[in-house]
Amino acid sequence: MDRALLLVALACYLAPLLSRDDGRLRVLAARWWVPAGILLHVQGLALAFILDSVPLRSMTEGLGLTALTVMLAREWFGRRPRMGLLRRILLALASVLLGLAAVAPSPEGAGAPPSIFFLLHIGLVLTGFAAFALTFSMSALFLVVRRRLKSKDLSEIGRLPSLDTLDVLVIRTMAFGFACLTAGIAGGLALGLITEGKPPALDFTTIVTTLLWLWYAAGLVARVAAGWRGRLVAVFGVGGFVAFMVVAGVGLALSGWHGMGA
Amino acid sequence: MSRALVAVGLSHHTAPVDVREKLAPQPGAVLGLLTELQDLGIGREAVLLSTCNRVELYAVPGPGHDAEAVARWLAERHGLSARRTLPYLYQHRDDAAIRHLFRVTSSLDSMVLGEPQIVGQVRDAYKLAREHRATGPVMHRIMDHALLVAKRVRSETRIALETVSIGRAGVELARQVLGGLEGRAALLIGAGEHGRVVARSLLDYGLTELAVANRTFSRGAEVAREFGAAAVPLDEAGRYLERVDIVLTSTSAGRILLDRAQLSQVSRRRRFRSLVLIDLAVPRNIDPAIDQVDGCYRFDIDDLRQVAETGKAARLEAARDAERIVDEEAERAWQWLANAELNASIGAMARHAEQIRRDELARAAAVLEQLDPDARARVEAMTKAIVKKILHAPIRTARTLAADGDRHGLDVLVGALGPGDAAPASEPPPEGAHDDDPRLDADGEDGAA
Repeated sequence: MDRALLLVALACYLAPLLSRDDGRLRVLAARWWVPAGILLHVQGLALAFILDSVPLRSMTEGLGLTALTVMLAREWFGRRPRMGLLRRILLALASVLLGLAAVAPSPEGAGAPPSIFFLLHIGLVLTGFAAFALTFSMSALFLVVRRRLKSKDLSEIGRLPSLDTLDVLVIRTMAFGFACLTAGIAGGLALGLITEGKPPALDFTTIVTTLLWLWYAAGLVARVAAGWRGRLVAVFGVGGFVAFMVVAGVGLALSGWHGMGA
Repeated sequence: MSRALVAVGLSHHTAPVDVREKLAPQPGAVLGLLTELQDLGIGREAVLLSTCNRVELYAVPGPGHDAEAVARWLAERHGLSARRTLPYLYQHRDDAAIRHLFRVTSSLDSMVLGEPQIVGQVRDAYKLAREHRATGPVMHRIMDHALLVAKRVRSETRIALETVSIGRAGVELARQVLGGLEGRAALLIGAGEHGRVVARSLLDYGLTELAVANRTFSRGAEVAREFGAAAVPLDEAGRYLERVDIVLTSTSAGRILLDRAQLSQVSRRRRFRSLVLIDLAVPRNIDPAIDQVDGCYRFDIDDLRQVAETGKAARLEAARDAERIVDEEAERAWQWLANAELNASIGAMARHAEQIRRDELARAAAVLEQLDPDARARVEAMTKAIVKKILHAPIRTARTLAADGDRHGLDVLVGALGPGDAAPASEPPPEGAHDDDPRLDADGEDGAA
């Protein structure tokens, strides 16, 4: 039932992406279907949390929550002027994440009852992932706008966000994601020490998350110390997230969060 | 019955500048014109709009006058032959006059489609007329509506957002890279015309600091003074490249002044902070290979033209939406004005009939005084009912004629039953004059005499 709701939400998200630019369907979809999709998305996740003995244990819940955060960020950033293209990129990204969430395998067996540290750890890490997804989107948009300017495709001038605005947003979302991920990893360590008396074992999830943390730490250091900005940072933001999605997508599909997968 | 509203005038669409300038009132003469128009009874209410591209008079004509009379007066008042001037003057009546006003105020009739100045010019013309009591209820309603329509057009379409000039194109390109221009600095190299136009636009849109470098320092200083900017020697301009955000080149040097190697170094020293380079010179002053340098965004005069042409096309597109809004609002305004005019006509007929009733009662006063108060009251009520019954059918007919747009029929009807001239459209009919008044049904149709 929860997956069915998420799939219907996905259909609502895809409608404006697949309809014609000037089509009536697109206007209707943007006005009604996307908000309806967000509502169904929330309901599907809530149902998944209720049905699962350990909330946020499954990939469906984790990716679904990340997709929902991206959608909420879309509504937030979308209010700014000239952000139409960013809204579409974020909608596409949330759709991909939600699609993966809807088809991800379910964990088997009952888990231990959740503690506040567990929820904090997962919540912060997922928020960090969502922030990096935003970094990716802003970076991608930066590269699109830059390419258009450099290739003298000036037909959309005045309708796209400015490069400097995007550059600032890339760094802010990257810094926010990094802070969340750092706190989430620290929470995971604390959780391991409290529940098992030792740090968590190095499994696939731990390694990927740590690599991601190192990647963005390097990006922030490069920005602050070496003054990286513009294209360099944008390529960094896109590259890191794409690599993470490929590696994590394959790995997590096989093993689930911390080996709790199929 | 006179027309509700007329618009008479000429613009760049209908008349060459030598005709326009003859009809343009001298500064300070507008009030005299409006007063004279009212004193002569040609217009009851009037607003005169005079800009460099148009002279237009919007008026509620006086009894027996119409757009033609207003046009003749306007020409002759300026010492022009009506016969020679009338072909240049357009005359719009009623709903067409309203639509014309709405189109003008929304900048759909302007030389530069979507230009913002016209709204202020209409507002000023209206304010001047209002302050000197040249306007009345009709003009208040229509002018206020026109300003609201202009606002709606600007907020619901992109007509004012699209770029159509070289100067504004430079601003948009800079803003596409840098965001806002507040707190930003620019360097203008050379004193060419295009460079000065773009620099002026950048300053208008919030640029904080401008430096001007020119081969001839005194000429550079002169341009700098024009903009309230700083003048720098040309050989020191290189130093500015590291700290400014925008570089404009507009020299007649005929060669490359900024090359890729130089800008690569500058960009590294700037830590790839965005630098917008706008090359307005022909032959160009900035090496096109700079497009390969990170952090540098180079545009030339063709790019600016491309933005301006795209903007013009987009404004035309937006104008279609704006025309739809204007049509919709003009229809609404005309409905109000037509109803107000109809009500005034009905009011005139009802007042006329009431006056006859009172006159007849006054004539019979000696006889009526012999009656007891109760009988006098019954006679009073009976005469009122007779008047209402007599007016019931003409009022219904008047409404039908108005709904059918049969103005001639309405004129005949009001002429036959009214006092001769219809009352001003704004003047409300007396109570009980409307055939949809419940009291008319109660007293007139079924009520006791």
